[in-house]
Amino acid sequence: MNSLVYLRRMIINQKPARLDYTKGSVTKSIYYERAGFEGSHNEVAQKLREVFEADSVNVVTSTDFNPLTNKRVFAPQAISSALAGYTFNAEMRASLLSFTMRLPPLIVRLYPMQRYAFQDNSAYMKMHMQYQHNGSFRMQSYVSQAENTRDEIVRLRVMMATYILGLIAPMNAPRNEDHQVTQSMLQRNAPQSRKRKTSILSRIIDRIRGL
Amino acid sequence: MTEEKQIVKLVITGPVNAGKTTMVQNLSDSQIAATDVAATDQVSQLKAMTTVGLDFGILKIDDSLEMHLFGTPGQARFNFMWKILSKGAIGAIFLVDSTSDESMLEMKKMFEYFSEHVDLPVVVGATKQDLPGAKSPDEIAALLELGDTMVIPVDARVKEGSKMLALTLLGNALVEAQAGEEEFDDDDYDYDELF
Repeated sequence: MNSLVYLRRMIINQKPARLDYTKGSVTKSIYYERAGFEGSHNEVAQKLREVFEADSVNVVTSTDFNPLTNKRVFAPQAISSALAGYTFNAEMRASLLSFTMRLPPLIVRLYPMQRYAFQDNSAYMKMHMQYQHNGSFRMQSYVSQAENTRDEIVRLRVMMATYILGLIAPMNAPRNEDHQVTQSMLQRNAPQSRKRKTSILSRIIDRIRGL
Repeated sequence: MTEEKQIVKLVITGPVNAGKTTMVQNLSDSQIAATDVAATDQVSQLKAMTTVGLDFGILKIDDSLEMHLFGTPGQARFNFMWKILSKGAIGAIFLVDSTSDESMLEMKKMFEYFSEHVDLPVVVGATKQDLPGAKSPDEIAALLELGDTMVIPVDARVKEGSKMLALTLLGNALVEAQAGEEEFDDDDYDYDELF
């Protein structure tokens, strides 16, 4: 499932990139930039489904691309469309379950996916509620609690959407770093500053949960 | 030498009579400083007392960290205060009265200013959802043109509701911050690393 990793990094990076993917002997590409994936709604959804099932994937980041069209599909909309009614065979299911097993304890971001017609929004809401209730989220438990095959498909689609769009992240922030907050600290982009920020946020979340 | 305590801010704002003062109280563990006075303008039709300065509360996080909660006056004419409040802030919670058209109008002005001038994680809490005529969170999001900002129904009078809203804001900010740590170069496309 390296295609999920590549898609996530493309989207989080927000930089122009081209994703080349191969299925069988056919290689195709999809172009991405901050405004979204290049192409019409249907084209992008179809290509993303092909990316999910690709044998190999490669990403090239560059600002030198010459897009064929001005049409862009915003990432949440594109992923929602690609996953609408998406089902998979036994091999794909096995890959997705294997991928799920590798995910660490997670934090979950609440994002208005319903505004992008995400069909599995209610399952996503339940996922966020589980996170809110427990303070961390185990994707493995969430998927294994599926009541039937259809429910498992829905939960795996939610896993795919939240992972690709960066709505889940590992719960591994350092909690007790000694440092001094300055006014600019929370606004700087240096990695060290972000680590400090995640430490502060984690400590505040723990405290508020205990109120 | 004594270690200096770290202080971060959480801003709770929104139009008049949406529940900001109550939320600051719910999330603070120290005595709140409220600057309520008798309302004299149109606000007097909504409630007897209104906040003219800042509601202020402190939540001690641990021995070296405090969160200061600021409840800001609910009129757009106080927007200028954002410049000061946003420094060192970790996020902002907007509260809006779901039943009031005036509240929506005021909120729209406030949020437009916020979007243009302030770069902070934000969530919107839609209060009074249990009252007749309350607009749904999706209606509010569309009416106020909130973009990707999450609108969450909340009962500001209940402590659990205040906690839930704050935890949603902070959880979102944490995911964003964590994702921000995932910067990589072309060579880093190693799919064994999931994050």
